[in-house]
Amino acid sequence: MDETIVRRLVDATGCSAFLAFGADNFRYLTGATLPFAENYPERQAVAIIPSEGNTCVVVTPVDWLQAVKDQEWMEGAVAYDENEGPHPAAFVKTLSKTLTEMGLNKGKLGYDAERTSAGLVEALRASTKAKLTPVDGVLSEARITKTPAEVALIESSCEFADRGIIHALNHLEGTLWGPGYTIPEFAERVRVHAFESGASGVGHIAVTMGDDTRLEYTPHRGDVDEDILIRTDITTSSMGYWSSISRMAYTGYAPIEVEDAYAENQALKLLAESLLIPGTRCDKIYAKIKSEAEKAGVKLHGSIIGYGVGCSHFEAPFLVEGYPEELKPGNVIALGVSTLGPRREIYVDRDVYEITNEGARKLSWYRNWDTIYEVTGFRAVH
Amino acid sequence: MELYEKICMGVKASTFDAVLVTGSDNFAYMAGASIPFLVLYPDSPVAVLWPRRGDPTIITPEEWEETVVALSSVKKAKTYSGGVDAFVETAAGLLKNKKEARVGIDLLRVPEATMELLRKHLPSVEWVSCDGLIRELRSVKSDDELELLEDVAYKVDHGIFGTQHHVLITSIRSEMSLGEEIRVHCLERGLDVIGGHSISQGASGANATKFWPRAPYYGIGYEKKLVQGEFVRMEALYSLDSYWGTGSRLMTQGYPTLKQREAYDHLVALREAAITNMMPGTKCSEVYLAMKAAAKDRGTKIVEKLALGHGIGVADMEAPYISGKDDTVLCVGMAFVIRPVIEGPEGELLWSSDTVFIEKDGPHVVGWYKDWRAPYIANYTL
Repeated sequence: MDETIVRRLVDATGCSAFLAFGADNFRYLTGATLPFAENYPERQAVAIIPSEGNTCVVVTPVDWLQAVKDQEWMEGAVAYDENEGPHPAAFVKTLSKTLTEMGLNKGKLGYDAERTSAGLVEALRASTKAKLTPVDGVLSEARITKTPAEVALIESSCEFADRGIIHALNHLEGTLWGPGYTIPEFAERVRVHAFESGASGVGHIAVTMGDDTRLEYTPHRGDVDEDILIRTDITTSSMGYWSSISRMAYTGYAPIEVEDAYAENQALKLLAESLLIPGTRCDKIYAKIKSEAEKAGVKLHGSIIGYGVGCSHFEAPFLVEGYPEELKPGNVIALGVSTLGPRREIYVDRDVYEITNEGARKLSWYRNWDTIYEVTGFRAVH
Repeated sequence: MELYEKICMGVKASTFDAVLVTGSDNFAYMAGASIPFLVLYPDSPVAVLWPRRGDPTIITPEEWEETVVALSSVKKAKTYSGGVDAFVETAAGLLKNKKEARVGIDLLRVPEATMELLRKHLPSVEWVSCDGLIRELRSVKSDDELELLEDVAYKVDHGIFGTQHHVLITSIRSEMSLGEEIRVHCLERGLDVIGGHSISQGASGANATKFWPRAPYYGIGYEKKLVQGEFVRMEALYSLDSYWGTGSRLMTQGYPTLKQREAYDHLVALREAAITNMMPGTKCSEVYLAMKAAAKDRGTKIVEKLALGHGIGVADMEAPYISGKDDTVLCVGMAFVIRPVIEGPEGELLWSSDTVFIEKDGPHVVGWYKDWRAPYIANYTL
C-alpha cells in the first residue's frame, strides 16, 4: 500500500501511530507477508506506522525479521529476544522500548483490536502511557477497496488456485480403474500444481469425496473411487493476496441427479453474479438468493454466499443477512452459493469477482466451470 | 476419553465456574478436534464452553456445525449465523444462567475486540485468564498423546530421510523438488495433508544462510540446484489428527569437510547438553543455561534471541519453552523439541531438531529413523 495513504489514514484518526498486530493488517501496511504467523499465537509481530516524521518500524521474532527485510522492507526492523520472558512479556518489553525510542509512549495509538489478544493488550497497557484505541473499522474500510495492483495480485492468485485444481484433476484421468490415487495424493497434487503455477502460499485445502462432501472438511484419507462426487476448496496466495476457489467434479459420467443439482447451483450463482453491481446492498443479494432458492426448492447450506478476499481469505464485504453495506467499485468478492444435493452433499462453485462500474469482472477466468468436471479421460496428462 | 476426562477434572478442580476457550489450538486440544482451517478464519470464531459441571458445548458458525461436531469429541453444539457479534451473543446466551460467575477465558488467544463485547453482554461475569490452566493441561501429555507424537516424529524423520535417500551428489535436484519430495514422503507415511503450514523446505549453500529463503514463497523452494560440497537443511512440519511433528535434518553433498563435521559436532554436543540436563525436576531455564554453557565451552555461535527448544502437541510450537526466563519445572509426560540454531562454516543456519519426552528415568529421544550423531551424507550412487 502507498505509504502516504497509510500515513494519511493514521493522521485522520487523530492517532500518533497505528500498531498492526494481525498478520493480514501487517501485510497490508508493510507489504511483507509473515511466515505462517496465524499458526503461531505465542510468537508476535507488529508494524508501527507513525502518522508523520518518524520512520516506520516492525518488531518480530528474529527469524521472521529476515523474511520481512527480504520483501523490500527498508525501514526500521527490530527483533525481540524470546529469552527475555514468556509470551507476551518478551515481545511487549521490546515493543515498549521501541515505542519510547520513537516518541510514541504517550498520546493515542490505534491498533487492530480484532486481531490482538486481550492478554497482549493488557500487558501493553501496563507498560505504556499511550492510550490504545481500536482502529479496525478504519483498516477494514481501507482494505475493502482494492487498488489495481492489489486486484492484479488476486487475479494471479485465482489462476494459481484454478490451475492447482484442474491440473490435479487432469492427473486423475485414466487412473480410476488402476492402482489410482489416494485422496491425500490428490490433495497434495492440488497444492503442488498451485505452487508450480506460481502461488506463494496455500492456506486452506479441503478435498472431500463421496459421502464426505456433506462436510466442509475431513482429514484426507482413503482412495479416489469411481462414480463419486469431489469438492475441492482451496485458498492460495500471490505475494500475500488471497483467492478462495471451490470446484466440483465427478469421477465418471455424472448421473442426472448430480447434473441437476449442479445446474440448480449454477442458476443461483449466476443470479448472484448478475447482482454484483455497485450500489447493491450485500444483504439484499443474500436475501434474493435465499428467496429464489426457496422458490426453486433448493436448500442453501449455511448463511453466507460471498465474502471479500485480499490480505486475508475472508474479509469484508460479506454477502450475508444483516450486512447492509453497498457494493463499491474496487471490492473483490469470492462468490459461492452452497446448496445441498440429493444426499445432502454440499455443492459450491466459488469464483472471485472484482466489482467495477460496468458490473462484476470475473478474476478466476482460467476455465469455464458451468458444467461439472467429469473425470472420464483415459490419459493422465495436462 | 482419557484426555476428555483429564480436562473435565482440570476444569472441575479449577476456581472457574466455566471455561471458554477460543484459540484454535486450545480448541483443538479441548474439543479433541482435528480441524486445521479454523485458525485461518479469525472472524468466524469456533469455541468450546466447558462448565465445571455438565457437558461442554461447542459454539460454531452454522455452516460448519456438522463438520465441527463430526470431527470433535465434544458432541453438543450451538450455532450462530454471522460474525463475531453473533458469536458473542450465542456465548452470552449459554452463560445467561451464570450471572456473577467466574469464567475462565484464554486471554492470550481471544481478540480484545471480542473480549470487549463479552464484557458488555455479560457485565456481571468475572472474566479471568485461564491461560495458566490450559498451559498446565497441555504441557503434560497423556499416554495416547505421547504415542501419537512419537508416531508423527518418526514419520516426519522417515519422510526427510526417505527424501535424502533419493539424493545423489551428481544428480540434478532443485530445492523446490526437494521440498516436494519431502511432502510426498510424509504423506506416503500417512501424515495429514493440510493447507497452511504443513510444509517442507530444502535450503542449500547460500540459501541456507537464511531461515526463510525466497520470502514470501515459504516452504516452496528455489530453483537452485544442490551442489557438491554444500550443507543442505531439510525441514518438514507435519501433523496427524492435529498432533504435530517438526523435523529438520542436515545433509552434506558428499563427505563432509572438516569444518562441516566440526559444525555438526557442535550441534551434537548441544543436543547432549540438553538431554543430560532434561531430568524431571529441572527448570527449562536451567536446560537453556546448560546449552548456552556448552556452546561457550566449544566456541560455538548460537543464533541469539531464539528459544533453544519448545513444547510440541496440538501446536508445533507451544509452552513450555527452553528459554532464558521459562522456569517451568520439567515433569514426566512433557514433550519437547530441542532446536538450537548455530552458524555453519559458510554462514549457513544449521539445526537438527529432536523430539524428547521427559520420562521417570530421564529424557528419551524419540522418532529417530537414523542415528543422527552424524549428518546424512549424499552418495554418488543409490
